[in-house]
Formats: sequence, structure tokens, C-alpha cells
Amino acid sequence: MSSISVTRIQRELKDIKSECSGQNIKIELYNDEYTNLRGEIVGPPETPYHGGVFKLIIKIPESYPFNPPKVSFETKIWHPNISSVTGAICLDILKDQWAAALTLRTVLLSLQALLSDAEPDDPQDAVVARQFKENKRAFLKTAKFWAQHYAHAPGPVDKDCVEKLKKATEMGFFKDVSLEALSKYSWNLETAIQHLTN
Amino acid sequence: MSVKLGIPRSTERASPVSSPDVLTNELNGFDDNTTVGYDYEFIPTLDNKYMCPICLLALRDPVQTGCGHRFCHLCILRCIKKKARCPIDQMILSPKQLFQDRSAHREVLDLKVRCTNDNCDVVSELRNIEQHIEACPFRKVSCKHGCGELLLVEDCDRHESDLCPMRPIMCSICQQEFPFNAQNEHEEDCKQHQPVECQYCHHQIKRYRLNQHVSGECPQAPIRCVFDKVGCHLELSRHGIQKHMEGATQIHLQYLLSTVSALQKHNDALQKSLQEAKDKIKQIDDNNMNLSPAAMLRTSMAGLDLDDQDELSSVNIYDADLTNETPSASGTEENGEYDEIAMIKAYNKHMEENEIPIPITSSSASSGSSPVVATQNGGTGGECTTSTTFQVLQKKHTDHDQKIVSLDHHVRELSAKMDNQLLQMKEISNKVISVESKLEQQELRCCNGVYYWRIKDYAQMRKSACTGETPVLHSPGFYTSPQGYRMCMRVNLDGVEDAQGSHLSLFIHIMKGEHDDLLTWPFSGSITLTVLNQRELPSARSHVTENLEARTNLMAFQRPTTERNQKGYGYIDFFPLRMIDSQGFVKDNTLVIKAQVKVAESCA
Repeated sequence: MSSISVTRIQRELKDIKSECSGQNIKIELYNDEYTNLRGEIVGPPETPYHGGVFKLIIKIPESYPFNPPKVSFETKIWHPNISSVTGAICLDILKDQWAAALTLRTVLLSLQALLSDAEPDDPQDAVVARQFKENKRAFLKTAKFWAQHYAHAPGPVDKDCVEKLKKATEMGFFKDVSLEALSKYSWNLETAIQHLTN
Repeated sequence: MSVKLGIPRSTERASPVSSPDVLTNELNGFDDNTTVGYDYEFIPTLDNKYMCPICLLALRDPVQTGCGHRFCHLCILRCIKKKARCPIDQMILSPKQLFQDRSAHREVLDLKVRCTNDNCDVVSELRNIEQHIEACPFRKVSCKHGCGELLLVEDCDRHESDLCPMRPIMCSICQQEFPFNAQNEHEEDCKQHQPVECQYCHHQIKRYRLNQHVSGECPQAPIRCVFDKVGCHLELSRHGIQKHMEGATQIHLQYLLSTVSALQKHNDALQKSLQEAKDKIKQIDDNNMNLSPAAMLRTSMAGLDLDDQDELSSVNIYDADLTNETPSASGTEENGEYDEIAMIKAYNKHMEENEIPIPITSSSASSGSSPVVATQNGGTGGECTTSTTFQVLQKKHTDHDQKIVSLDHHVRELSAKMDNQLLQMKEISNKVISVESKLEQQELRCCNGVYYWRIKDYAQMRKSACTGETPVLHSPGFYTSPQGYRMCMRVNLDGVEDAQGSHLSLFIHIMKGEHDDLLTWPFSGSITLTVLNQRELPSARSHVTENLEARTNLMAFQRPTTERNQKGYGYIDFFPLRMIDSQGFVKDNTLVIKAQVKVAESCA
């Protein structure tokens, strides 16, 4: 690793400690080589993700900051622009719109902004995006339940969701798979079960 | 900040606006990847206007862009080498639009910074700080003996001469220097150089050379005569053995002679047993030859042999009865030795039974004695029967000969037929292969844009992707409809570019098809790529799917001019490799990738 990326990451980590205490974001080293970092963002208010803590995997390429860092969600999340399976993010500044003047802090803030403001017309996860456009209520319900289930978001849990998830798991399906199916079929237990058994 | 989403990455790269030569020329010479801004603690804290937005440190050799932003000279050059735009406002930027900012340069050098050495409170202007650090009493230097310790300048001398574990020491024995902490090793080493006495010649020899001396040089060391192997087991000093060699030639020759003759004997015995083995093999070969043609033939031949033998043995008995009168009868028999032995045996038996020794020539002389007459009578009676049996036998022989000839014909016919059939079989299997490949082509043609690609031997493929042997795999070309576009999938099992080692990369490439003349170009439509999960439980299968729309302005979707379009379109980071291995995407060492292509109506 060229030392330019190391010095830059060291610098950024120093700055982030002093600047970001109030912004609900966090970045720390995962190993000692400055190539592997872990981030955390807190779900912004007035969104179904409010209060959830979302963990991010950040990989620094050797050519950083001239190439973007690779960022993906480690915590599962229900969002049109984030893959519900792999956590891959489709964000222009992480791809062709990256500029060397951007930092990990600005990336994490952009991700927070993305949570507040989804773009379902240009989706990463087509299923979520369709639900977002066609059944907003189901989308909000699902996103919130996922945030509570995976990201420890506070607040009362939707009883309907808990019950249906319990029913599906009692039928012998894995919890994650059941939740995925129920979410995909907007909490229609019958269609979800049908999908699972097929 | 604008947040624009959902742009899958193409393998295409925009070429830089500025001529790349200018950039490389500028970057040559200081091709280091390390020089960045000034990394010091500024007093007061560094103002943002003096901070390079790329390295986040104080500007070194500041330049200003046409759009009014400041960067370190090297930082911005590296940056626009990658992408010819200002990293702040994305304005197009070439090296010609960079101007040295002398004013900023002066201002940065005027800034105050703290000395980097611990315990040193000196704050100085940036322009002087390096000078100060070099002379700073608190600076640390590394020990010149390479022990790795960092020392304050004032402690350095004492450490290097008295304390450093790696300080050089002079050996009193060999007068060589060695590091203090390697004393034990040196002593061991030194011992090897000390002289010791050779137990045979009593000369002083260095220890490490002693073995060599005894085994190759010492004139007193005992060695064995070189003719030890052939029987001269004498052991003398090296000096003595030379004398022995000169004087004992005769004895040695004798030893050699006896050994040679023993060897010869042994060799003869071996030759003999070899010949026996050869004969046996030949016999077995002959048997095999007789047995080979066909099962039917084999049994009939076997029967034939048996018949012959029975008859022959009966003849032998007759012959034995007749030996005294027709000794030549045995000569007519074809089966040489074997029959002779049988004959003699039968004869002996006959004699024993009669208990009268009858010499062969005395038959006519002793005509008076009755037992001989009786024998003679018996003999004449035998002669009659023998000649008839002989005729019968001869006839049988000719019959058999004929039979063998006709069977031989039959065998020839059969083998000719078999050859013919083998040829036909070969033709048929060739036809089957060509039909199979046609069928495969047909399948690729009629899959209507839905193609399942099974990557067999996944583990080996992955391995050879990791080692770089075959980093890329291409699927066969399939058609979106029988008269449609032809395309294929390309996968990098160990990822490509930035995703190497972390993600599976998956792309679609357009290929030359038969109907390209009739189609609308560029291709437009949607493509769904799926890596199928193959878990046992259908409910646990979570496939990974990405859906992408063809972007008609990309090279990837233009009409191909080569067999396969150079440019593809898809995902460099389709899906993390760790998930493939751990979550049931590979079954029976096979990975299944599905492509589903829908051609836009405007194109169809």
C-alpha cells in the first residue's frame, strides 16, 4: 500500500474523531493495515430507519483517494438502493462520481442522506423498489421492522409482523429466509409461504 | 451533494481529456507515491485554505486550478492522471490549467509548526523546521549497529560503544569481529578454526577440516584395499596400501579370476533359465493362437485334439506290440519325441508283463520256442488291424485338415466382417457427435434469451482464476430469439480490477450472430443476471439477481465487428466471493448462472 493512502486515512481518522461526535457516524480501523475499516451510521429521524445502527464494511483500495473506497452494508437493510441480500450500495459517488476531495466522512453522510431520500427509479434492489412505488405503506412497515430486527432501532415492534414471522418459522423455515419472503410479498403470509415451499 | 443512483459500472473507461503524455512526463522524475503535503502540528491549527483537499495536509508546492482551487502539485497531478476533472467541482482540468501559486507557497512556509521530537518545545516557521529537526537536541537517531533502537543524540555514543547488544567485539583467538550478542555462535564457529591433532598422523589440523583430512589426505589413516570386494580384505594405512597395491598384483588377479568365473557361471545359469522362460512363453503363445478365433471354434478344436490323442495313444500300444517286426512303424508317426517316449514306455510295460526279454533281432533265430511264436502270431494279427486303423486315421487326418482349412476361411470372413462393422460404428459415433453439437447449437438458438450456464469443476476453475491461469470464462453464445441477438456471459471467478479477490464479476457481451444484418442496432432491452442458490431446501434458496438496462450509447451494445464485442456490460462487484463459498451457491462443484434477456420492443 502506498503511503499516500495510509497518511490520508490516518488524517481522516484523526479529523473524524474531532468533527463527527454529534453527527451519528463512526469509523474505526478493523485491522492495522489501513485497508479494512468498519463504519457505523445511525438511521436519520423521520425515516423508518430512525435510531437503527447500521454497520458498514469499508475497504480502502491501494489507489485511494484517487479511487473510491468500497463500501457495503454489513447490517441488513430494506432500501430500494441497497441490495437486501448482499448489502451492495448503488451510489454514484462510490462509483463514477468519486472525487479525490471526498472523504470517508462525506461518504457516510451521503449514505445517511440516501436513507432519508431513496431513489426508487434507479434501484439496486428491484423488489424493494417496486414495493416502494406500489405499496408505500408495506415498504415503510418492512423497512422499520428490518431496522428494528437487524439494526436495533428503538420503538414498539409491529405485532402483525412478529406474528407472521413466528408462523413462518414455526413451519420450519429459517428466520432470515422467512423474513425475506414475507417482506417481498408485502406481509401476505399465504403467498410468502407458497413462495417458500416452491 | 447530489445523490444519483443505480448506475451499474461498465468496463468502458473514459479517456482523459488531456493528452496523457504531458501528464506522464510531468510525473516521471518524481514517480514516488509517497510525497504529500507537510504533516506537522500547526500553531495555531492549520487554516482550511492552506490544506490540500486530496492529502488533507498543508500544501506542498501549491498550484491553483483554473477553477480557483489549491492543491499540492503532486497530489493534483496524480489525481488528474486518473480522471481529468477538478476533484472539488468536477470541472474539466488538464495539467496546462495548473498554475504555481507562489503567494500561497510563501504563506504556507510562514506558518508556525511545532518540532516533531518528543519533549522539544520549539515552535518555528515551516521553512526552518526541517533544519531545526536535523539539529534538534531531542532528535532521535537509530543505532548504527542495526539493533533497531532509536536513541537521543546525546545517548548515542555510549549506547553504540558500551550498551548495544550488537556492538562489535574482537575475538582474541581468530582476530575477527563479531556482534556482542552472537558470542556463543562465534565461539562455536571459532572452535572449528582451532587446530586439533589427527589421531593417525599426529599433525595439527583445523577442526572443520579434520574429517576431510582423515578421509582423503592423511597418509597414516587406515583404509581398505580397493580389491576388498573381490576378496582382498586387507586394511592398511594410506601409505601402506600403495605399497600393497604395487606388490600384490598377482594375488589380486587371482581374486579377480575367481570372481569372474563365478560370475560367468551365474550368467550361464541365468541364460538357461531365460531360455526356458522364452520357450514357455512361446508354448503359451502357440496355445493362445490355437485358441483365439471364437468360442465355438475353440470347443470344436479342443474336441478334435482330444480325439486325436486318444487315437494316437491307442496306436502307440499297437506299435509297441509290433516293435520287433516293424521298427520303422514308429517312423511314420508324425508326432516325434512325445510318441517315441510313450512307445518306449508301452514297450517296457509289455516286456514286464511277458517277463521274457526279447532282443529285437532274435525273432527269426528263435523260431522254435512257442511263446515267441505266440507273440509272433499275436503280432501278425496286430499288423492287420494296424493297417486298417492307419487308413482310418489317415482319412480322419485329411478330414481334419479340410475342416481346419474351411474354419480358417470362416475366421477370415468373420474378421473381415468385424472390421467392416467397426468402421461403420465409428461413422455412426461421429454422426452422433455432430448431431449432439447441432442439438446444442439449436438449444442455444431456441432458448429465447433465457440461458442457464453451468460452470462445472467450479473449485478447479476458481483456483485457476486465482492463480491467473484462466481469469475469465465465457459462456457459449445464445440467441435472444431464433432470429435474434447473440450474446454470452463473461465471468471472472476471482473478480477483476478493483474487485479482484473480493467479488465475482459478471458481464454480458454481445456476439456476432447470423441475423445481425436484420436486427436494429445498437441493442436495447433489459438483462437480468442471476447467480442461483442451490441449497437443498427450496425455501432457503436466496438467489442473487441484478437487473440492468442496456445503455445504447455504450460500445458494449453496438453491433459487434469481432466475434465477440470487446466491451461488456455488467458488474465488477456482482456478488461477494465469501457468500458463494459459504451459502450454498455451489453444489456438486457446479455454479449456475442464469441470464434472461428481454429485447426492447423498439428493437424486436
